[in-house]
Amino acid sequence: MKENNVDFDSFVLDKKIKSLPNVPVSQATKDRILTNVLQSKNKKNKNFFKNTLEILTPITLASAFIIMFLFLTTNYSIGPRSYYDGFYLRIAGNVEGAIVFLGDEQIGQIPMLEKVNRGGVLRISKEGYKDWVGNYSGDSLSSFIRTFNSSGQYQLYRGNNTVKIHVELEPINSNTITFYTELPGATILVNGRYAGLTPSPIRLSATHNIIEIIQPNKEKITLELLYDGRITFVRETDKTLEYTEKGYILRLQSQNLHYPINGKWLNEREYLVLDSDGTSFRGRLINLITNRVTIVSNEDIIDLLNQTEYKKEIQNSSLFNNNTDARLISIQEGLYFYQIDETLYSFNRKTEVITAIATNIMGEINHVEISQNGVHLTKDGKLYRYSNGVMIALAENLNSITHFSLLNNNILIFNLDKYVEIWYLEKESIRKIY
Amino acid sequence: MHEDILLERFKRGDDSAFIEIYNLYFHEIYNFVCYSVHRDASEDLSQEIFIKVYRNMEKFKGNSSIKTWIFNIARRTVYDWYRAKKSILNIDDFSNTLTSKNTPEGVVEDNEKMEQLIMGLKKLKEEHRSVILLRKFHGFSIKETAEIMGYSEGKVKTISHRAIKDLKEGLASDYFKKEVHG
Repeated sequence: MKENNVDFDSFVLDKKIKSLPNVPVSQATKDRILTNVLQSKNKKNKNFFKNTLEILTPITLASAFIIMFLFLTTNYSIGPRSYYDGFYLRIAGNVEGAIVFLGDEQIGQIPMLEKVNRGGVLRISKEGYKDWVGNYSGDSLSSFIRTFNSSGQYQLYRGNNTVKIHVELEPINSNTITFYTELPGATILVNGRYAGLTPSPIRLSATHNIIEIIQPNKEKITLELLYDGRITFVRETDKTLEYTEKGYILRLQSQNLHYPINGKWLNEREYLVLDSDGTSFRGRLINLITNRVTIVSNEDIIDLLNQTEYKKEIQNSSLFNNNTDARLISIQEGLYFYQIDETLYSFNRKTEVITAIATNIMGEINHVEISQNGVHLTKDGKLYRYSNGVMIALAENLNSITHFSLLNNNILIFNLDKYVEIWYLEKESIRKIY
Repeated sequence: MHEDILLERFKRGDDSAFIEIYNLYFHEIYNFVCYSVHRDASEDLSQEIFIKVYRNMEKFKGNSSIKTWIFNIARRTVYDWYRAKKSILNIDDFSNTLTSKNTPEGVVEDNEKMEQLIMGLKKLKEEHRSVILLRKFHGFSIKETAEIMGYSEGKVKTISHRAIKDLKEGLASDYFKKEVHG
């Protein structure tokens, strides 16, 4: 084995080589090159026309472009036709097909180019969008630029005798609705969720929307609205939706709060309750299957359930003449319930038997109903079942119960919060109906 | 002084002055071109360089020596050729030239070290090769090389240093390396 120790530094840098070897070239080659070089002067002259063309070609092309541009601007209205006869108005925008009016005259649709020679109000209109309005005076481009004014969104471009306006039409918020109540600050729920206070604009995103408007000492307002690009009522109503530039507006009037006075089961799933706000009566039909609560104003129903006059008669009858402390509470299927001091009595109208059904009751009883499970009564806003001398509180989370009604072992409960809520106590579970 | 007289004569229309200049520098320029580009192009490029010299010499103001000025033209012409070719000498072109006596490699075929050196040179980047050729083999000073290359003197020094380094590394991987022969 042998190592080749040729070293770069000593070979190249230590100047062992002073220069690279000459590459041989024949004298004939050298002479030929010299001849060509000396003749190149003449060749240069021969290229004169070629060089001239090289200079002229760009000039020719530029001229052709200018002629073409002038042709297009003159014949296809790309540019101004005249500097003295009005000016050209080019309008483009984000909404094609929007109609452009100058004063009362329709002058085109976006995008458009129109020669104008007068000033006025420029209005651009398209359904679903707010009108875009601008105005200017004069009949020349310079006066337009000087006087043009618009509160809408736009960009202005100025040409020689053309002005271009790029307008931005603002869509009307067709999914937005604003509720107005007599007093602002009513709570708005959309599909059970808090959405704001009146009169804040509410944006609907779902197709079907159950709207609840709640305010103290007023009846809750419930609406069903459909949104499918525009907002409509699901059912016919006497209310009117206004469609404005800010979206829909609905003005609402709430009734005074009505309290349940009396009620009657029409069948196992429907309960008819008589409400009163102190001066007037109304009926409400509650469907336990659909949870729907409907206002009914049938006078016969109201008369049927209104025991006010009847109670007065009974209160003044011979039954109570002897007991001025007795207070009639309610009437149930021929039984009169009344309270004297701490004892609850029932009087059977047919048999005329008086029975003390509950004793040691502190406070004023508001409503009584009796069933096989015992006596149910409300007192101080709470619901109790009284059985064998024992009072048991029911629906303990409800504190302002104004009325209830038994159906078999289940209880329909009316509780006053911001409005009169309706609950259904079924065995151990309680659910809200309204 | 002699160059000034030649220049003056040429400007007065005496082509024999140009012929003298041509005879003075042709071989150096031809060598520079041969070591810089592919052999097939060297004659054409040399002719092109001297045509440029011939056409522009009237405008030459004598700010540098005629030799420096001609080498500047040669360097730019070689660069233009590379740009036009858009390629660096490929190995096939290179191997074809090895058999010819009219190539640097052919000239030194008996000297293996020199042949390896020339091969290494041809693998360098254009500007590296030019600087090495000008500095080491045509004897230009840093200042003259800077004038020819159109660079500052500092840049010429840097390039020269890097070029030597690259050349050394390139050769080390080939011949200038401690090789082990069985």
